[in-house]
Amino acid sequence: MPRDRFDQILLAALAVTLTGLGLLLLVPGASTGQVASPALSRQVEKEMLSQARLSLLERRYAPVHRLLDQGELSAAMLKLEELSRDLPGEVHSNLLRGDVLWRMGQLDKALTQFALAVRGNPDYVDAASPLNQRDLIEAALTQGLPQVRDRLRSQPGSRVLEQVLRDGYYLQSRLAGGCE
Amino acid sequence: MNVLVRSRHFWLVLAAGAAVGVFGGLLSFWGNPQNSGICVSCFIENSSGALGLHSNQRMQYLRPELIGFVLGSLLCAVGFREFASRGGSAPLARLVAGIFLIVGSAVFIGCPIKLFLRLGAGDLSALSGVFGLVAGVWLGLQSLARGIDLGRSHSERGGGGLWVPTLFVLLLLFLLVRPAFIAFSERGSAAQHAPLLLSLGAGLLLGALAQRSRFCITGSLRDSLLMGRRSPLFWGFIAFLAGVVATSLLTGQFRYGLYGQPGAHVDYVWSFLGMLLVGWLSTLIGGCPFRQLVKAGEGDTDAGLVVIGMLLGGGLVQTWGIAATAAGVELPGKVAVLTGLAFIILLSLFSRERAPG
Amino acid sequence: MKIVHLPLLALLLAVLLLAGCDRPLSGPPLRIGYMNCNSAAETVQRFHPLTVYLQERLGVPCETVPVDTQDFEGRFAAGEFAFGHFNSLLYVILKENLDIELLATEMRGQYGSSTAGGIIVRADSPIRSLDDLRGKRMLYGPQLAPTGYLAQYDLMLQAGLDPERDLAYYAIPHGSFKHEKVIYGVYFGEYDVAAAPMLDLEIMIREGKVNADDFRVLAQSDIIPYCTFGAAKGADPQLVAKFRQALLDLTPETTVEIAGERVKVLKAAWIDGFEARTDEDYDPIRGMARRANMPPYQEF
Repeated sequence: MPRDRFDQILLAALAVTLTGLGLLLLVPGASTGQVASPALSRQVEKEMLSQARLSLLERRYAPVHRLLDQGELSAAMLKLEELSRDLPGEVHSNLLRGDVLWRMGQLDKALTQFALAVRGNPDYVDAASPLNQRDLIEAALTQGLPQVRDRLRSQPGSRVLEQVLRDGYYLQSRLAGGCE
Repeated sequence: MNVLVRSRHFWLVLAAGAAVGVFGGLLSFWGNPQNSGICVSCFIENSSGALGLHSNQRMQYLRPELIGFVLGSLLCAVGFREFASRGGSAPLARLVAGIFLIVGSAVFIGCPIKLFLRLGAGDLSALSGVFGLVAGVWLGLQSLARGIDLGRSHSERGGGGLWVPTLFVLLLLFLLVRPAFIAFSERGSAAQHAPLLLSLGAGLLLGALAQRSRFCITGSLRDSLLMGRRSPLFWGFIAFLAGVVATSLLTGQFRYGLYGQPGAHVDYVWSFLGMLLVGWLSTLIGGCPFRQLVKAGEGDTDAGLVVIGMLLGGGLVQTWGIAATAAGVELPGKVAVLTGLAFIILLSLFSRERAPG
Repeated sequence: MKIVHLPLLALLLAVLLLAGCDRPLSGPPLRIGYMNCNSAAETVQRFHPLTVYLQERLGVPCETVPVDTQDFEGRFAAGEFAFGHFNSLLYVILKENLDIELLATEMRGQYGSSTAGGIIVRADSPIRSLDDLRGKRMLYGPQLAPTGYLAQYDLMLQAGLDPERDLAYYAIPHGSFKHEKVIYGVYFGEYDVAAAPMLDLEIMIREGKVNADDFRVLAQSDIIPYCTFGAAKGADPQLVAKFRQALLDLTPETTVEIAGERVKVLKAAWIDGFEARTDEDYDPIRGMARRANMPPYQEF
């Protein structure tokens, strides 16, 4: 409760400030519109970057998809090598390489490539993403993990196979969800 | 036991524990990430991202549950005339502690509530975290017994205890109005959430129950170690575990196993150390991350600073690569956990009440 | 109390000092034969760091011995080496004739410890299938190359073609870098078709020497194991086990000191690592060799 004049002045000032705040926020036209909201610009920019990246991936990797559709697996592998040269560090190459290796029956190497791809871009296991590859990765895991476990039983201590198994468990974990 | 059962507080604690366990399972069934129906650290990271404190586009969402915890606690405290601004006990240390609470949780990938949600859903990889948490609480008790004292909080004038709840009211407004400067993930785990009203409602209920009952995961472990079955919090913890397991089984979310669990890694040593950090810190500062939110709602400015620290930590663990992933714990995470342990040790050394001479 | 502790400290100190001493390795050197890919000089340059590493791990002096492919079997049989590094066809030959023991398989390229052979044409070639190879000029790699000759020879046989009769002719480049010459031979239009190891094609693309779009792959063989380490029958079992483990323990960060310089062992050898495989993994090569009437199953 206001005890003296100064308290009353403070309360009045608060009322004016809050009224002004309310007017700024609620009355249309308060913004001059001359300067774009930086937050909105950032959001738009993020969306554009995302779309641009998707478009780039579709364009650059279209030849690989064509070769895969034609069943030209070896040619697809070579094309991926070329694309890795031009786009170093782009994990989409790893994803498609995993796909080719899976089709060739090289399940252990496929799992390694899928793990590299997902580590670099979790969108591959995101059902809501246009890059979603859950079905492919699940199929590779279903076929590949038992095979790797069998081989590890006959070759205990194989570091390469142990790493493939870890990659497989990682993929399983990512497919299962969780906060990441 | 008869004495306990006749106490209303006992049943309140039981109800709070069971509710946290049940809603922890239900919220992931309703849309929150798997095994993360309630995860204060993950939610803090999501909220930090929404506020622009980090740029991980997959982890940006103002979690209504957090808002509910604080405001539910506030409403309950005000309704039962328990709201009181108090603080002044090592405020900066608590701010830093808040950061390290999130560090430890992020390295484990989960707060103490999520730890048991994971375990209750059959995730055996959480066991190393359980041992770490219990060890951390034990160490915290040893520290307190040997004179580590951060100082008493005292009543504060000026309504300081209202500022953090006011912040969360603002966050609620942001959640409802969705201004452009608040980020909302469209993909990733932050895009997975239960319907807003359900999340907020659950948060409000749990905040209120926790405020009345003083329910806290690390507090339960602490009291269990000190008093065993005589402690109401022990039974509250049992009710929590029962709620978790029952909900997990009934909603089909139970997956027994060590590998391939959602949001889990198998770097057991670092899971242990991360939770050790959380348990130890929580015992020293008087509550786990969930309890800090509830205390902040009832006017505790020290807890409020922990919450601010947690929000900062939520931004840092993502920006600096401290947060672990299913692939494991990277070097920044390991460094951060060890730094946190060094922080506790230094804090203990400086805060220790020593006998004169 | 102090008197009791001093001798103990002195003993500890002595042990530590002795442990730090680099004692020179004694005994006759363990000769490791390395199959030449292109030249003896290149072989030594590639594999000397690996030999130094093995020396450190085995605790016996080791020597890098470059060996021409055709001479390997004879020199191995003569007992010149206890350990050797060779291509997978040579492993099959040595296994069949000398009962060597498989140690580890080399990993390199997209297929890891495996590789394949391909039959390739230039992208603008009118040749569309293996059947179109009749009457064409083909370039093969060296005859004992599993993915430069054997795999492609077998591919043609399985397609009902006889390389000895159905081609206009086939040639094998002379000199070193045969695999690259085979690929360039088609690239520059000197030959219609080439038997290209997929690994070499992959490496040339990676290095920007050619592009994937410059060629069409008419056919690719089964995926077979890549280059291999083996041990002579009767080699000391403990040494064999240590040798194998030393190979499997190699990581890209493993280094040795050579002439005051720290050298990455795998990088120097152009290898990504080693993997343990089983002898059964080499059965596809045996199948190819039988069908192609090649060593170790050739009949005259």
